[in-house]
This record gives sequence, structure tokens and C-alpha cells, in this order.
Amino acid sequence: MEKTVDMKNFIRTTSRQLQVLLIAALVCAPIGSSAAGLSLRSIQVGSSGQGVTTSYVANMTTATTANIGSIKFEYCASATGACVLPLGVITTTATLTAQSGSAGFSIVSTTNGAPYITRAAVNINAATALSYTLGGVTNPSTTNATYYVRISTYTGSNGATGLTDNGTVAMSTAQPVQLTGVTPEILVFCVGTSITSDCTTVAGNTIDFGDFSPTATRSGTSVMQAQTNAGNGYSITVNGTTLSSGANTIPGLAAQTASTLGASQFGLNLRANATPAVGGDPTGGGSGSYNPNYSTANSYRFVSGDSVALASLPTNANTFTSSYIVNIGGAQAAGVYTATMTYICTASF
Amino acid sequence: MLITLDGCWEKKLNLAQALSKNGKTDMNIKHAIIKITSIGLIVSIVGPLGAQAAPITNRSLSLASSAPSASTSHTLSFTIPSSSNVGSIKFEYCTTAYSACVTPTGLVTNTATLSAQSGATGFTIVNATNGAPYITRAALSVTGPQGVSYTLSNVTNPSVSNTEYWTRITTYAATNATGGFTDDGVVAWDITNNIVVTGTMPESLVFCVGTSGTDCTNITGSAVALGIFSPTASNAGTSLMSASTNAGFGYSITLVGTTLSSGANTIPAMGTQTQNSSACAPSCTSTTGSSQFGTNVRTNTTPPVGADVSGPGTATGFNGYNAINAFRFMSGDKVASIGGVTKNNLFTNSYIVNVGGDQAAGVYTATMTYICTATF
Repeated sequence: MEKTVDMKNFIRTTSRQLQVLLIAALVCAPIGSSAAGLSLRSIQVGSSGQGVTTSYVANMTTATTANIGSIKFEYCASATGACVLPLGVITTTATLTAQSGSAGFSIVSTTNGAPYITRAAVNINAATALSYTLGGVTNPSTTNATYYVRISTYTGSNGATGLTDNGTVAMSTAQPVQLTGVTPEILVFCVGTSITSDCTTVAGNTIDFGDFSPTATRSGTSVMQAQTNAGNGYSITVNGTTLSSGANTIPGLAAQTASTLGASQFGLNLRANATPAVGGDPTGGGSGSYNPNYSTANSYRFVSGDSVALASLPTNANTFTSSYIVNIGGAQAAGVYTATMTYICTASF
Repeated sequence: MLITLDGCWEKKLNLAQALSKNGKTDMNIKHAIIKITSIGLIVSIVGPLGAQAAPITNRSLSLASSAPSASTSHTLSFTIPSSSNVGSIKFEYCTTAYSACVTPTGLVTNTATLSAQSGATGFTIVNATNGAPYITRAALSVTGPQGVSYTLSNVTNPSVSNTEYWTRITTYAATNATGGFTDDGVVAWDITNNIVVTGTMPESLVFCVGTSGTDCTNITGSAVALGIFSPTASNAGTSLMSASTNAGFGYSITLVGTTLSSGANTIPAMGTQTQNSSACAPSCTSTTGSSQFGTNVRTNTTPPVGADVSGPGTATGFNGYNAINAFRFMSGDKVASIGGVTKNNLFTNSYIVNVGGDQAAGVYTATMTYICTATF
């Protein structure tokens, strides 16, 4: 009878314990088997080019406080369902190059497309920001294609057991854009009587000195601009004849000479002068400059074929102002005097 | 009905007379009652068909939900054909149209309410008998034909799906839905299975880059020919990129690459060379004769190149890449972004090149890689 009572108690007690265990199992089961979502998850790739071997920086924030022994990065062609490795992905050469938030991991990359980082399990609190950089991962070989990395944290160290948190990141390869252009051999040179910015704005080709006089110096200007990418720069020469009217001429200045009233003379330089007040110094960001023979303010010269400006290296644009002066003696024969100045820019590549 | 008594009904009357005479019922009489009552029931069912009561026309029963066991509303609309006093209208839910009425399994009308009425109004509901609620009022004349409509709410549908049911509508002069009826009619209706449609929207990032097309279904190409550079003219070209995402924190598109180069010779990048800066030292504007390379995502006039972002999405260009006629380039810069989910946008990346006269001759190339990173 006592045994019977004990057996009843045993059965009753055991039954209650089993009920408690069953309830506990039912209550706990969802916690242990349902993974929470990793939030603020993203993957920054070093390059999105198809087939490029690059780095993957995976950022995520945990949802669950748990001892984490491994984190798996599964490369898939779809976000859900059976994972099919995107064509061309190679992760077997991946390395763990950086880690933060919770460190101490090393990488296991033996299964292509599913590397995981592992360590002895250590607690990570919920809402912890984590970042891990996998280097040496080869992107999918298909261009402009979406693919996915499924990130899962595990309590186990094998990247498989004790799923805790997970989340999927959608990514895409992108066709790199190839830009191509040609810089040819450049010599941009122009001559005129006015210019506002570059050779597209140059205009004019006549200079009218007006009536010559023994008591006043007549002057005028022209402009020219030059630039080149020739390795040895450029040289600009002036070519022409001095002012003439039939057989009558106004002598060109064979050497740098000051303007002198009452003396027949024709000359030019590339400077801003005061006597007479004419001209301007070179402008622009280039390295071109005037030739020494035409470089002294208030001194003029004209010898056909002379180099008036030059650059010894590739240079951006410089604008030169050629200042012409004319003086005549009282005996200078009357007539209409003309001259044509031809500037030649020669680049040496 | 009394006018159209047939032989069976006469027997029933005779039986009533017999009961009246004897004052009690013996077994034979009980059997007779059972037998004759059965016949009488048949008569009473068949009776309406043979009666002169006019059929209710234009009758229908509209279910707010046809799902099994759904608690829903039933709207009964019909036309009362006869001019008569109407004190009640009964709605009898049955598994057949004309046989003895069996209440459909699962149907619950005890909680029904009369939530709407029109045509002939002033009714309240009596729902004491499950499956046979009726509405009642002090009898008032209805001039037929009269269209009416009554909505019974909180009716629980039958629990068996894909099955036809019938509701028999009967008008009475009496207020308790008994006695001789005036008009009647039957409506058929069905309970059906709900169709459950299921799909999954996964994390999504659709991104593509190319040189022609309108979206990621047709964008192709990868080469942008910028032509022959000149100190007196700007050169320009474009590429395209399209992006959409359902990432809660949106996406960011960064540009990775190098400026145009030919061997050791390069064309300097425009804009202040600080990551994601919008500053413009030495310059963000296109200047002919000055070597510079830059890009943006706007419609520009100097030089005329590019287009503003288009498409139904809400993403925009970022900082220094989002100003008209202002260009910059620095590898790693963010060029476009959005802070939440967005439909697709098409961006046009405009590239401009100027060279100084001293820019070394050569074929200049650069590779622009756009990276779109979504944060879920």
C-alpha cells in the first residue's frame, strides 16, 4: 500500500516536473531558435566592379545579448531561400583585415561563398555596433547585378550552431565607366588688334597711325597670344618691312632705341611704355616672355626675322602687346606709308 | 392560403374537428396527426408555390465578406410586389431553397443587428431564433412595387466554404412573422474560401551604371569618349547610373577612381581636395585653357552637358556634385544619397575636361567606379 502511494506520488511529481519542463521548453524554444534582426547593417565594398578583388566592410548592430563565437557572411544570389553562390564570387582567399565593436576573431574561409569569423564565445550586448573588414574577396563576375550577403551571428564557434541574430544586405556590382580623351600636340597662336580672353576672341588686323609729324610720336598696338605643350616651347618672330610709301621708307630701328621726335624711326617692343605712352606688358599664366631685344620699356627695335617672344617649356597662354612707334623728320617724304607685320610662332616638340 | 386548401389541408381541418370533439388524443390519432402533419408540412412548403402570394422580385443578398465563419453584414435588397400592410419581414437562412429549412452549420444570427434600412422603414430586429431573424414594426401599408433594403450586421457566416446557401424572405402583415404571409422569395448565396496570396519582398538594392538607357533593365555601355582636348574649348561627356532600394536608411553612392592621366601626366581634379567638401579651391567652374577635370549630376550650361536627376525616387546629388555649372572630383566622395527607402532615380554624371596649352600630349584615361551602399 505504501509502495502504491509512493508510486502515485512519484508519478504525480514526475508528471508535474515534466509539465514544467514542457512549458519551459515551449517558452524558451522560440528564443533559442528564432534569430533577431541585425539592424543598421550595410556592406561597403572597396570596388563595385565585376570580378574585382576588393574589400568588404560589414557593419551591423546586434539585436540580442549573447555569447557570440562566430559570425558568418554568406554570399547568395537571392535574399531568401536556398543560397546559390553568385557566379564569380571567391571568398576562399578572404582575410580579416579589420574588426571593431567586438574583436578577437579570426577568419575561416574554407567554404567558398560562406566565410565566417570565429573565436571562443564572448558576450556581446544588444545594440552593439560591429564592423569587420574582409579583404581579398572577388566580386561576382556579372555586371550591374544584385547579390546578397546574409550575415548571421552564432553562439557556436563554427559558423553554424546557435543562430542568434541575422540580417541580409543587398548589394550590386556596377559597370566601371572608362573615360578617354586625347590631348594632342598643341600650339595655339593668334594675332590681332584686340583680344578679351583667349584666341577665340581675337579680332582686327589694321593699325592706323594717323598723320605723322616731326613734333609728335605716333603709336599703335597689336596683340598676340600663344600657348603650347611642345616640350621645348615656342619662339615668335616678327617678319615684314619697315613703313614705306613707294620708294620712301621710314627706317626701322636696328637696335633698341628710345623714341626721338624729329628723327625718322620705326620700331616696336612688347612692354608697357611711357615714352610714348603705349603698350602693355605680357599677361597670362604661361611662362612665355619677350625676347630681350624687345623687352626694354621705352626702347624700340625692328629687325625682320627677330624673335620677339619665346617660351622654352610647355606653357599656358600668354598675351603679348606689340607696341609700334613712328617718328619722322621734317624731310620725310609725304605719302601714305604702310607695312605688314607677320608674326610666326614656331613650337619645338 | 386558406382559400387554396387542397385535400390534405382539408384532412388537417377534419382532424382538428375530431380533436375538438373528443377533447383528447389517442394513439391512433397521434399517428394520424404525425402522418397528416407530415403531409401538412409538405403542403405548407409547397403551399407558397401554389399560393397567390406574389413573388418578391429584384432580390439579392450582398455579403460584406464571403469568408467562412466571418462576422459580417448581410444586405438584403428586394422589391415588395404587392400593395399591402407589412408588419414584419423574416429572413430565414437555409441549406436548401425550398425543402424543410436546415440552418447552415456555423451560421449565427442571434447577434445580428439591423444597421440600415430603406424603402420601407421603421423596423427593429428580432433575432431570438438562430437562422431566422425577422424585422418588425407596427404594420404599415406598402404600396407595391416598393424597393427595400435591409442590412443585418454581426451575422456570422456559415463555416463550410464553397457551399451554396439560401435565404428565404417573407413579408407578413403580422408583426411577429407568423400567420399568413404576403410575399416571399428566395435568394441564393455562397460562402467561399479566401484566396491567400503570399509573396516576399527581400532586401533590395538595384543599382547599375552605364552610358545609355533609362533604368537598370536597359542601361548598357561603359566607355565615355571625351574627344580631343583643347585649350580653347571644354570637352564633356556623360554616364548614367540608376538606383533604388528598400533599405530603411537609404543608400549612398560613392565615386572611386583617379583623375584623367596619361602615363605620369595628369589633368588636375577640380574642387577642394577634402573628402566630400563642397569648397572650390582653386576652382569648381569650367575654365578653358586651365587644366581641370570634374563631374557633377546636374543640368549644366557651362559647358552645356548633363541632366538633372529623374525618376520617381527621392534621391539627390550630394554636396559639391549637386550644383549647376560646378564640378569636382575626389576619389571616395559621395556623389548621391538618400536617407530612406526610395524608388529608382536616374542620375546623369557629367564629366568636363579643360586643358591648358601646356598639358602634355597623350591619350588620357580614367576609370570611374561607382559604389552604392545600402544600409538596412
